[in-house]
Amino acid sequence: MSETDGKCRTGVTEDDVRAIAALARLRPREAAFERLTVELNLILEHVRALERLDLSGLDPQEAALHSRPRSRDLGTRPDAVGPDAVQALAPNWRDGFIVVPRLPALEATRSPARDPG
Amino acid sequence: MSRGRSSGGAVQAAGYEAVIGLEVHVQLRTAEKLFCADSTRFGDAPNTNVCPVCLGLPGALPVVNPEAVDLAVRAAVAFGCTIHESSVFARKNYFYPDLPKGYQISQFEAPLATAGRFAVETAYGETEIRIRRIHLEEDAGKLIHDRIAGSTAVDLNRAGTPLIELVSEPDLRNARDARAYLQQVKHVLEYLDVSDCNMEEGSLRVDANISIRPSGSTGLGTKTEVKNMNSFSNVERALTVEIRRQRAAVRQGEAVEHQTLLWDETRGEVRPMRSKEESHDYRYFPEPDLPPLVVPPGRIDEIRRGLPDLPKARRERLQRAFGIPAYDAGVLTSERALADYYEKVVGLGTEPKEASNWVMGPLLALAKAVDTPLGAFPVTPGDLAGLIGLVGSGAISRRVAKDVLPRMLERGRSAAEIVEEDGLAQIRDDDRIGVWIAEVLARHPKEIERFRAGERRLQGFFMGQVMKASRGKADPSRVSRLLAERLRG
Amino acid sequence: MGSHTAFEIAGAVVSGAVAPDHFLRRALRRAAEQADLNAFLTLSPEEAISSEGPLAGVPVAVKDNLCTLGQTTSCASRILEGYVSPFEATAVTRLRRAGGIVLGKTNMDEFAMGSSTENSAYGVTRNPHDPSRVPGGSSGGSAAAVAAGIVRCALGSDTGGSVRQPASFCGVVGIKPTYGRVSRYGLVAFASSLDQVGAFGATVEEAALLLSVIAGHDPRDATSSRRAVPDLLRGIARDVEGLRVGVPAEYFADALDPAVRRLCERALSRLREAGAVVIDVSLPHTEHAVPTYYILAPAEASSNLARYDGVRYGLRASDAGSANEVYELSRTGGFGAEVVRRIILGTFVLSAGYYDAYYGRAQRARARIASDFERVWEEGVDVLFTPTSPTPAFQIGERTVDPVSMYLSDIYTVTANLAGIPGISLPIGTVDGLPVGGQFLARRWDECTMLRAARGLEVLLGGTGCPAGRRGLPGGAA
Repeated sequence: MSETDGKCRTGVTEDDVRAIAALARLRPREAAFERLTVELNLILEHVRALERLDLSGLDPQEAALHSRPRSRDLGTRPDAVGPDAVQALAPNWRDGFIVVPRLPALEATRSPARDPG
Repeated sequence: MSRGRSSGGAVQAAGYEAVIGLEVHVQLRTAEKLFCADSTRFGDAPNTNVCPVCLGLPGALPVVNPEAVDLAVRAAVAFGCTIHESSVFARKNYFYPDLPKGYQISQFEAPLATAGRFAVETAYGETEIRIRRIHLEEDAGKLIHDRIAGSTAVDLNRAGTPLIELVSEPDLRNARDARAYLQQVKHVLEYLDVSDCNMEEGSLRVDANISIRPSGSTGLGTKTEVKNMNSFSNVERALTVEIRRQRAAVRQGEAVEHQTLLWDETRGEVRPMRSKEESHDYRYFPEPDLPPLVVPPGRIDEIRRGLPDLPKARRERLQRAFGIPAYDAGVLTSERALADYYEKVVGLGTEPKEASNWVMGPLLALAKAVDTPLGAFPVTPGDLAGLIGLVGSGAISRRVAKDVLPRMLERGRSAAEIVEEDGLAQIRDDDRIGVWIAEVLARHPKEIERFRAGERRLQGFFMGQVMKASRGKADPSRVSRLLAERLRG
Repeated sequence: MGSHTAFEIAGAVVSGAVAPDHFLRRALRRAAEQADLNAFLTLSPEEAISSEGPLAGVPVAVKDNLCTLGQTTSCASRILEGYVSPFEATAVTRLRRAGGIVLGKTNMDEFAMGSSTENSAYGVTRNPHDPSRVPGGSSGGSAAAVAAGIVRCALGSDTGGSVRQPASFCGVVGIKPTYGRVSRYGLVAFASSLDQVGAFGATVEEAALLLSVIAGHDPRDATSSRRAVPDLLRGIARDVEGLRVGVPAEYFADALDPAVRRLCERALSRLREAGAVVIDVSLPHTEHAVPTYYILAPAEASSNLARYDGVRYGLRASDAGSANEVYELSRTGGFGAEVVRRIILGTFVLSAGYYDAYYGRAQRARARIASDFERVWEEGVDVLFTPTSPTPAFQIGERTVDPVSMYLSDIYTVTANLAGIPGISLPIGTVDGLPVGGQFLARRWDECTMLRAARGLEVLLGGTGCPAGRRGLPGGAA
């Protein structure tokens, strides 16, 4: 992906779409990438209309808050569901655990700031 | 960046100094999780402390636990941070089987607190380490790899447990100081009751950023990130190894590569984490399910006022207020519960040095022997003050008192009750003591002769015999006085 | 139940004039008769029926992205096929506490992504007015269920127009409340900062009745407002005399079908004749609303839909040999084409190097769009009147080839979601037998004025609270 200069002029290539799909853990059929790339460029072309908008003098963080309530809402929280419910939902369950195919152990460090596996 | 004293002989001698920043993740000691009401208890059966929110079920929404916010603010106050009245939760997006929602709710652009400082005592004196930020985030679940063959087992009990991430500026210059910093950070957090900082249970985890640069320069070299260090001594070892590795690379004219490394404790080496092309794009954006976190200044002040003395301040205060030696003050403030206990004992009128001897000595030994934290110790400060009072009034001897203490724990009775029940009170009746003295003297005429001939050290022998005759109950000071009178006679 | 309003049903049930399940059985019969519409994904009436409350005995259709106990909640997606939620959405709980009956779960665009209900994994829903046409979307099943006379009220969700646009296409009333008015707890998230549970009704009053039942603070949703809910039904009958109705020029530009424009102008004439003050206004940032929406909504969606990973619930690919394959194969097999398209778009606009240019910019554009409305309210406008959609219902398959043409059918509705204000669509006539909706927008929290305007116009156009249906159209004065 080519870097942008704060604007969004560059088109997206099929390889870009491949990388994005991998990041989103999607694996479309090989034939679908060409279509997805065309569509994504079409949509991006449309949303690039935003470039014409003069947004000077507006802090993006403030903007993010604009339409949301600011109150500190510290209420009650949902009921716990028992392990039975977890088991009922889990596609693969054994001995009280949800089970997935084995991950390389070393990558599963205890730090929450680890890389995606 | 030029703060922090540069030391660490070997590295400096080679013409390069290390630049180290630490990220510490600490589990907050709340009863409930950060965004739901499940218990944070460690060690429960897997997948039992879970609900729609921390399972990431469709339609579930997070709501902030105010207790966690208070604890984070407390830590931020203690580390001298600027606490922001309004901070913003953000989503950190990545896929991993222990991350139920596919994102971690954390804070990114607008953290709870920034720009703090922490004075760390090192072997070379005090160094100020700047704290870049403290933010709130949720923990992930736990993966178990050795339980089911060919599979990884997922336990989500820990998912959603509140953490703070405390990030230092790269102000540390060697592995030893990094360890000292961590120990002192841990000490403060325990002291504040923010966390139990139990590394075995994973409630304190450390990642390090390391680079090296020519000594005296102010630029920053390419850094590496080291993870998977699960004890303070491992942090020191891993950093030492990594600094050596970088220095060797630079000496051979190679560039240090920006990468994430994992510490392998068994082999004593760091090795690169297998990286995928798409790694490191967390796509942070503001968490739309939560309004900005607002902590009113009034609440911050309240927390600030309720903050206990930090270890250093308290040590100085104990020395000043009670005139106890620096050593005693140091031991007593090594744990907040110990210092609290001590102050309560003194507060009940016990002589400070006597109280210090008892708390640091027999009491602490007993609590350790039965593996009970002082905060929950059945022998209360009032109980101990009562025991020391009995010694002070002469009701029992110090030696007897040392036997009484474990019996108080065993039977859950006061010192006075134990002394009463076991008949341990000292006998101070001169007539009864006189009878024992008379018996002893009658049995040892030869020794009396020798004593009167000038063999003064035999007084100790008579003393022992009388105490033995009284089965240890006679008040030694009275025995001593009465015996002297008789022998003179 | 053709001739009975929700008010009449509740009245009859509460008074004991009919058995509590009387209208439920009728609704089930009508649903079975019109199964070809494919409005419902599941029909599973509850056992116990209350004979108390403002919705006593009233069957209500519920969009399949609201969690219910006892029925599946699939969001019309393969990835949640057969998923039964262990908890219930707050809106559904309130509906039931008011005596309402969950008749069944309605079809929708997968995860509410779409404007035609063609993106359902379980087949398109047909427009009761013309089965060759779409019912609109994403709440197409709920709108069609009301239009077909199966129910008088239905729940939907509106992220960019997903209640109002299908209401317009199906000739019924649809309300998107102020953001924060109704709890989102148990509403499966599409774009959290835009999603709001909405209410359909055969008439304005019935939609308002349903909204009054589900509105109000919920401690389980941190974005739900603590603000007290006014009596939404009280002021509704006031006429429109003196009401200041703004008409934003940008909503009457070239994209608007001339026939729809004529119906809007007729509606405005009626309002003027009845004493409303019609004022020309401008919302200059309107042209940026669709681009802004199609950055923010997919961005949030790409994150909200990350939880569908095949690990804890839902579809897991049976042939996955590694954890990464569990993700990739389950997600690829479970999501439809539009969902994949939006996840990729959303992932892209949040990715390193592009965030500022797209997401950051769109956040700021959103604030501009919201302040356009603020300015208009400050000028003394009470409500805005606009078309709901540029065209009447289009043919099934007509727009599926070009995503942008589909996105543009949201052009008049996305602004309310971006600004967090309430909106309502009500029938204002027909074009070639197809219903057309008009939209009122109002200040945040001022649903009362919005409902008063909508009810006023409904009466002026001859709407009598008559049943909708495949034969007769509401407000059929055209």
